[in-house]
Amino acid sequence: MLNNSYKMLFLLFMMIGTMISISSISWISMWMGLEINLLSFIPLMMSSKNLFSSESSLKYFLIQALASSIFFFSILLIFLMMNLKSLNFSFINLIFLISILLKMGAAPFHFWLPSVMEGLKWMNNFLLMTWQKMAPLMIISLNLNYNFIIFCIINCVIFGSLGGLNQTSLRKLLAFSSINHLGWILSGMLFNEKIWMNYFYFYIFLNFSIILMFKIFNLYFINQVFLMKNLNLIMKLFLFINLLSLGGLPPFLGFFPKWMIIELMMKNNSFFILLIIMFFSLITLYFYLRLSYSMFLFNHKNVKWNTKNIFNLTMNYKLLFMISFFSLMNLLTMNFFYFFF
Amino acid sequence: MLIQLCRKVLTDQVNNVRALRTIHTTVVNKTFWEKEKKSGYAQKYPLTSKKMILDGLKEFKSELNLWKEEMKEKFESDPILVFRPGEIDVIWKFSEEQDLDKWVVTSDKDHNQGLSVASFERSPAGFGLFSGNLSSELPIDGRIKKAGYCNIKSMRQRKSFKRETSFDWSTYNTLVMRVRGDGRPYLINLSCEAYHDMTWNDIYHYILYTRGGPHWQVTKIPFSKFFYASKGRVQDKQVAFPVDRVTSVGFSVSGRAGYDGNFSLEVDYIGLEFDPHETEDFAYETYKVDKYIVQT
Repeated sequence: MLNNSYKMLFLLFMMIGTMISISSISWISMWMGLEINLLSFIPLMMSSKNLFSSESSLKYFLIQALASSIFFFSILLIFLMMNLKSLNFSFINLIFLISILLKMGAAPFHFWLPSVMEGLKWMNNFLLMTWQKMAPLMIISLNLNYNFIIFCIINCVIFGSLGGLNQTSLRKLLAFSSINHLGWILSGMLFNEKIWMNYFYFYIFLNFSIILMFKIFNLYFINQVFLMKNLNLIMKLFLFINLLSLGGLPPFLGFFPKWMIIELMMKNNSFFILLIIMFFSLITLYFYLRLSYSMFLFNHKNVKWNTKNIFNLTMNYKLLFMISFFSLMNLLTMNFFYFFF
Repeated sequence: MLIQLCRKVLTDQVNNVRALRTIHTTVVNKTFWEKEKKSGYAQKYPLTSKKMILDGLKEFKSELNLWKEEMKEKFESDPILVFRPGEIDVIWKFSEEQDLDKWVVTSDKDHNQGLSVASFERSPAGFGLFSGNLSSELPIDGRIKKAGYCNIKSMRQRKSFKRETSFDWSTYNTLVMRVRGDGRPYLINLSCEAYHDMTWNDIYHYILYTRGGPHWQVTKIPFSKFFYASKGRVQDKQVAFPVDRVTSVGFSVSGRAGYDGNFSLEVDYIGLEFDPHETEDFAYETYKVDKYIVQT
């Protein structure tokens, strides 16, 4: 990344755009931040040498530009409504929310996300899944419409789980998992502002651990997981831990944000939504588990004379080691941390 | 007067240069925009719109059943997780008559651009036989400068309700064919119409060298070897073959440079394999020049 100075520039501007959106006091400056973010992210997406990334960036640009224009239109309607007091606010709120949900890739406006992610490399995918959602989520949290958000949560969770069932591409799988997690984040947003942010931070960490693993071993499709020269036993175990953590299985770290949201929703007596999102998160766990068990059971070959010492490994492997260890061990630690602070 | 003279000199120069240097005799398309997929060679629909609607309604029930099957498959079946070396997943096998219906035969005679004939039928041995006669004789009216080609191409895959789709070969990396040719080199065309209209004419080629004679040959070509061309023109900036949006497979044969005459290619099956020993991503390099060097 640091080899190319243009990448540093665009990354910086992408972050600046999000920061402008998050810390602004006016809707128009929020829109401005979103646009700066979009315009800086597109050159980052086009940086690879093949056709697919430019196709993905074109699709991304069209969708986001459409969403931005509808967002700006709804802002103007809000200003008009404030002056005239005769317009219907719930309709304006609906358009506002739809444009922002389209930006994020939340169901039922998610159809662009798997095909855009299919053309990008892992680091760009990571940015698309995590950083690009930050500003839109912040904007939604300032202007909620409970009925519509509940409809959106249920859709996210259903499409995110059922869409990932018959996928062979790891990128599309993670796209659907991202849609599913977005459902959980939005359900946390209904009750408490800090809870969804905590889930989001954990989600960034979990995503990072999975994507780092896929990037290091250059895995893009599920049949590449079985090649012997890519993965030894320890790395397979780490992938197993990280996948199950992303699926939200205790005793891994990924269970903790889901646990927080479950407790919050139980206290607020919203059992029906909770039942639906828990049920469909089980389906996402199924397709992570399918990837993991096939990795261990089918075509299993292990190089037994691997005598590498942990301390002599390269930085990438050390990072993987640390992250996976954190995912494995730190559920209770995080619990205590949040309890005391 | 002076301006007109300059203009004449310039256009003359351009025309002369064009006559000397171009290989293709069709006009170079200077824009990316293509008006239609078939680039002017489309045939008119045989029926009126009203008749087509009524015709379509008759197929509603069968299409609905097909849709139900697709939904069932989506929810019930799992994707294939393991691909072992040596396992070939057959895409087309020409053992029955209806398999041949999915392929279209074209030659330069179709639009009066030549005199070659071709057919794709069942051979006496029970396989698909692409055969005919190549003739590089030009039509008399002089519009066409070169002739003598025949092709077969598989028809576009369609889902229920005639929606167009493409093959997803992302989990494979080799194309395998069992063929019996007559010694000619044939051109394999993998057409990949992706999302945008710029890619409508993108075809990835490789050459199938055949041995004459009664023995079969199994040809394995990794996807990394296919080179990128559009409307017959090999592109400067080569990219790897997009494995997840393949629309059709085709074979071409040409009778130029004195190789007129009969040809025949017998195909048993066309399939795919995942070969874990194939580690090459892409076989062709594009020499990327540093930004401070002016490209000459």
